[in-house]
Amino acid sequence: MTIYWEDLSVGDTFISESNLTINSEDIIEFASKYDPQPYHLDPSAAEASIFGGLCASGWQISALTLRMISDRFRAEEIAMMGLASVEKLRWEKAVFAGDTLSVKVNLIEKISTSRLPKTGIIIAEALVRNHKNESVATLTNSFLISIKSEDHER
Amino acid sequence: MKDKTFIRNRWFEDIPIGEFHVFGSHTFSELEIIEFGEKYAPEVYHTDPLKARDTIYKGLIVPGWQITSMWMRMMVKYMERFAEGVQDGRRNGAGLGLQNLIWHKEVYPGHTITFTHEIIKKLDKTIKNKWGIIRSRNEAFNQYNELVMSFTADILAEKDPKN
Repeated sequence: MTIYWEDLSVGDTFISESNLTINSEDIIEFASKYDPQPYHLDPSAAEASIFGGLCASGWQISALTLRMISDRFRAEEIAMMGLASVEKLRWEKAVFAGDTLSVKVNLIEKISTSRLPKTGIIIAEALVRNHKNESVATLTNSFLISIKSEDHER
Repeated sequence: MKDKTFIRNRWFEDIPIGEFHVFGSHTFSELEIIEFGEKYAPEVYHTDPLKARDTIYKGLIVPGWQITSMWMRMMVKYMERFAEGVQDGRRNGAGLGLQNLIWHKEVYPGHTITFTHEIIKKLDKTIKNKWGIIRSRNEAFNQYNELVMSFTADILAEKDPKN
C-alpha cells in the first residue's frame, strides 16, 4: 500500500535495510568523474594527504546516503518524488575504502506544500555512521512526497 | 607559472571576500544521467526515459546530487588550470559541509549548466592551529539563465604561519 505525505508523522524513524560497503574501485570511479583530486584517486598520494588514505568524495557519500534512504523508502512504498533541498550537511569523518555505512532518518517536520503540484515536504535528519559506529555525516534533507487527498490539489 | 599557481597556492589571509569565478559549463547527456541514476538514484525519472514521461517531471531529469557533483568537477578542473603540477601541495583543504543546498528547477538531458563560485565570508575560527574556514556561495544556471541550484559551502584554507 502506497504511503503518502498524509500518512507520515513527525517522529517517524527509518533505518537503512542493508548496510553499504564502499570499495576503492567505487571511490576512484566516482572521483575520476566528479571529484578528481589525488586523495580520492591515488592510494599513495592519499596516504601523504591530510586524510592519510584513499577516501571517498564527500559528494559520493551524500549521493550514497540518498540512495540508502530512497531504497528504504521504496521498501516502505513511500511515494518519494526526490530531494528538494539540503538545509545543512556536515562531513564529520573521512570514509575510507572498505568502510561500511548505514543511515538512520528521523522525520522532524512536515510542510504541506512544495514547488510541485500535489507534493508536500518532509524534513528529515539523516545520521550516517560507519561500521565502527562513528558519525561520518549528518544531513538535514527536505524530501518531496506525493499528497493523496483531493483538498490539497492546486 | 607564478600566476598559474597563485589561486590554489595562497594562504587563507590572501583570499579576498567578493572574489567571483565562473567555472565553466556542462551539457548533461541522457546516458550520463542514467549511469549516475542506476548507481545513486534509481528512481524511474532518473533511469528510464519512457517511464519518466508518466511521472510529475514528464521526462528524465538529472539527479540533484549529480548536478552538485558536476559543480565539484568543474571547480577542480577550473582550479587545475591555475595550478598545473601543484597537486596536493595546495593550501586549500577539505570541505567541512554546506548550507541551504536547493535544487530550484529540473535539469533535463541536453540542458547546458553554468557553474559559479563566490567567496562571501571568512569565518573567525582556527581549526587544529592551522586552518581557517572560507565560506562560498555557489550557483548553477541553465541555458535560459534560470537558477537551477545554489548552496553555501565551507572549506578549509591554510593560515599563513607568519601571522
